[in-house]
Amino acid sequence: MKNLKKNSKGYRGYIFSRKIKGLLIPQKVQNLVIRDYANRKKLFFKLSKVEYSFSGSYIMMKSLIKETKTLDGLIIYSINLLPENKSERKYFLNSFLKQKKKIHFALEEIALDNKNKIREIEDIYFVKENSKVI
Amino acid sequence: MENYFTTEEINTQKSLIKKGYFIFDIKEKKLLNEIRDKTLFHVKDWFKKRKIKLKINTNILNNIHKFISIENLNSLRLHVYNKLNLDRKFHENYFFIGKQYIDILCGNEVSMQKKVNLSIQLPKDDSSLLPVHSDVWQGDSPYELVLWIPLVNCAKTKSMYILPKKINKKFQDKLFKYNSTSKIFDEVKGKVKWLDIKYGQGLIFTQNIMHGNVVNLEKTTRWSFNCRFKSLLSPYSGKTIGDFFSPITIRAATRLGMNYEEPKKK
Repeated sequence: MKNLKKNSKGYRGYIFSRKIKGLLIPQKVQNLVIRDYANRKKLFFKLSKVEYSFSGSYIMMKSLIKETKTLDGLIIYSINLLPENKSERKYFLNSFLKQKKKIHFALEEIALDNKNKIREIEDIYFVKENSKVI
Repeated sequence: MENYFTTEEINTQKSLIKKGYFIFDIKEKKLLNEIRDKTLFHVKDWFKKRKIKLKINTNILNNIHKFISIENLNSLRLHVYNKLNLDRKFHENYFFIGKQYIDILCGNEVSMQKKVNLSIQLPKDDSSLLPVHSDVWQGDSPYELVLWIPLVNCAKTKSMYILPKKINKKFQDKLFKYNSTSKIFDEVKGKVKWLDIKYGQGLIFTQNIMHGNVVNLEKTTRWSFNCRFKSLLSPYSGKTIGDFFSPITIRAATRLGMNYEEPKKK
């Protein structure tokens, strides 16, 4: 871990304090998934930002864009945490990619490091939104 | 609706509702000193492991910045935090220090945060700041209260600030306009109330009101604990019973209710 710290600006975690697709996932669990992912991928994890609980709020996510320069990237708990609005979602992802930062989605174990991969994220997001879990 | 409270209960509750916080003199000084002594023991232990001899006295906490760098601070903090939180007596002492007022303000059946947080703020250290926030916005129940206990005298920037309740509403509504709390702080920084709390005093406050800290610009280091309490059966939010809170005072009537069984047809 010490070497990771020395050679890295770090990856900021991002979790929700409100329900995710109808389920309340404890913050502790979201952080455990992120921490486990970071350990396996040897990423230096920096404490997560917690999105506000108000419906539709992405204030913390927007504040991450301002923090980009001081980070190597983000580890978001899941693709499900991305904004529901497609243009907002793309704006957020592009803002990071433009600055050559990586976004990892811990639950899905997907790393986004170029624009072509946005389509993969969008496909998964669409199916998650429109398919039924039985 | 009637309110059958004693005069002390009425005054204590009025203070919290009006200001959002309540400061009290700790009567159980022995328990507080025990917590401080245990903290000092674990501080000494951390330095000893690094082969640094530290002369322990009650003023060492105020002056710890003379012996540790900002890079090593979190290691010391986590060492003390983990050791103290393994100790059930520490939790018990922490509760009993504030029990009289927790009973009045939360109720006499309460759940307690499982791990008591420790904050160490060295002078001029900007690595452990809590910008203006309200914990309720990020998954805490609005029914929780925080018991904040310092191990050193805290005032001005060495302490924490809270927004006066009167202006909190006006400024918290600007959150969506600004999309950031830092702009809110820029507007309110002249209006916040810095809490002056000495060793031997405790603070109980609501997280529904914006609060935070800034870089400690005083000459000595802050050491303070914080721990959330709530009425056992009041609504929980993202931090739930079992994972974050632990029931600590379930009384007989509730136990009887929990174990009640209706007559069964055989």
